[in-house]
Amino acid sequence: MSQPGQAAMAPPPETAPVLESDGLRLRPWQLDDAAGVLEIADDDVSRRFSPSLRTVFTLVEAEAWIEMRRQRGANWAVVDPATGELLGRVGLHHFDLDDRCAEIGYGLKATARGAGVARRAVQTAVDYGFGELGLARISLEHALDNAASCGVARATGFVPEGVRRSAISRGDGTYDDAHLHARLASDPLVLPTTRPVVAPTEVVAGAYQLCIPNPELDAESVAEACADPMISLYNAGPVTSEDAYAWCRGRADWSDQTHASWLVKDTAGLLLGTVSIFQINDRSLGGQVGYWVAAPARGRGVGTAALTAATRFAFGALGLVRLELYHAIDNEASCRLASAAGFAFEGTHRQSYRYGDGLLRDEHSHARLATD
Amino acid sequence: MTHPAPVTLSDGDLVLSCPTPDLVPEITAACQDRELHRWMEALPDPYTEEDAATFVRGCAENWATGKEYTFAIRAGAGGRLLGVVSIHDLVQLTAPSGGMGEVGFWVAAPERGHGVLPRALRLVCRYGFEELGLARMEWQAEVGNVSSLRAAEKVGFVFEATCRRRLLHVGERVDGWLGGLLPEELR
Repeated sequence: MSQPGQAAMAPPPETAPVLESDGLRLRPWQLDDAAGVLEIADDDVSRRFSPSLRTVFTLVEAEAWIEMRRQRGANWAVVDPATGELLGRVGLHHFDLDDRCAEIGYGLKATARGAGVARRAVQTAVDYGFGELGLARISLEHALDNAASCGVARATGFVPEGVRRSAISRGDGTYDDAHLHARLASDPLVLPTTRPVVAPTEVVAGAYQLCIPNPELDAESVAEACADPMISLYNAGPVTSEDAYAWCRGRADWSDQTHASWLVKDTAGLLLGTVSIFQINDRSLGGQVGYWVAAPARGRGVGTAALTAATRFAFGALGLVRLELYHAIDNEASCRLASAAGFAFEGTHRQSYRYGDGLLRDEHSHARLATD
Repeated sequence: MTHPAPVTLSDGDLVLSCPTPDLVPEITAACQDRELHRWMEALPDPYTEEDAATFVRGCAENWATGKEYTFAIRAGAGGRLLGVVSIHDLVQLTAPSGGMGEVGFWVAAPERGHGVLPRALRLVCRYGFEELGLARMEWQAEVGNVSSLRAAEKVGFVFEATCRRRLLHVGERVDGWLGGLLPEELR
């Protein structure tokens, strides 16, 4: 949680980063987007409600508009990641570094409206503003008559604060009243209502790779790794190769959508460990994460890389908002790993899990939120 | 695995048993209280007699399947309804947690402030440990629900964690308190 007045915010970046989320890509503007910008501008709704696009009628004017956005950091072209088609724009501007505030603006071309694109693009930019830049407050203004924009604002958790009278020029000497909304970093998280169905997917984890288990290929090395005393105590797993075969098959099958599990391998395909997001709850959008690192692979950052990559997958592709991590309190390596991967300590649960030696142990709970 | 048949628990004053259809009017009346809606995410709002009837039917079904053990708290046998207490979110005895359940409860507005909750909780936790064989009980509440915390602490629950954004409340994600109770700590 950001504490007002405590941490400073990062200045906006010189170049907008590429953000992939929820079926959209937000990327920096390119000069060859000019034709697409003209398409966004050449529309009654854009001319009425987007002052900056009101004067864009030619490719040269569109390029000038793009150049302006390229010079300010946090401005994105919203594109369809499958086709690269330009759908709209979203940007953070009017940064106030002292007060950690900024304002958000957005707009879509006519054919991209009504499909939740603006809502998802705004949510992605907001997550970046609060998460990466450390903003405390993002405001949002739209002409009072613009009901569609108001819907986007409400759906993304921007609370209405009031009306600023005659605040937005219509370009003809008259003015629109502006409906002011704002969202704080400390506001309750907006509750997404659905979660995407996800097929088993390999994930890059720094120098390593999160792979889908293959029973034929991996059972032997999994059983070998699980024979290690640390793993058999803290992560009791399959002992025989038959058990390991079934374990691999279960972890490769994501069809019930309650878990997403991988083996961690190096580039040569050597088994280094495992990581799993499990107990995925569609209602609370929460899950748990578990992992082990094979004895010969310890001390090389395998766990941190794997946990970080799996966490990113959980908050991105899986659409979760809270991940919990439990470890026996005497497992200090796991505690360090949890903290290194951004899982904040939340408490000590006493006698809450029976470990490989048959004893109930106290556990630490750590958790990371999508908004952390 | 067989599940225990509904039982009656009593400390000679309070009588706890599976809610029966005759309690529907009293449950409906109690669940009009806004204070209950403030803290209980799962409570239908507005709350009708039909909701109460559904709740009562669900209690019997959950006893039968061993999913949850819910008790109406009454002032003596056949006495007026004081509240409801349950053991839910049970984890199997064979699971690595060694068997665990979570307590949930509410007390009707006019009955608060008379120590009903600690006495009812004590009976239910003892039932969970001694009859169900649980190794640990958990309590969760939205941050700020001090009366729930006080009741849990009175029977021996130890505060263990503040879990950020773990609970849902009317579509909002809120922070939760979590406590644990081990068999030897029950008092």
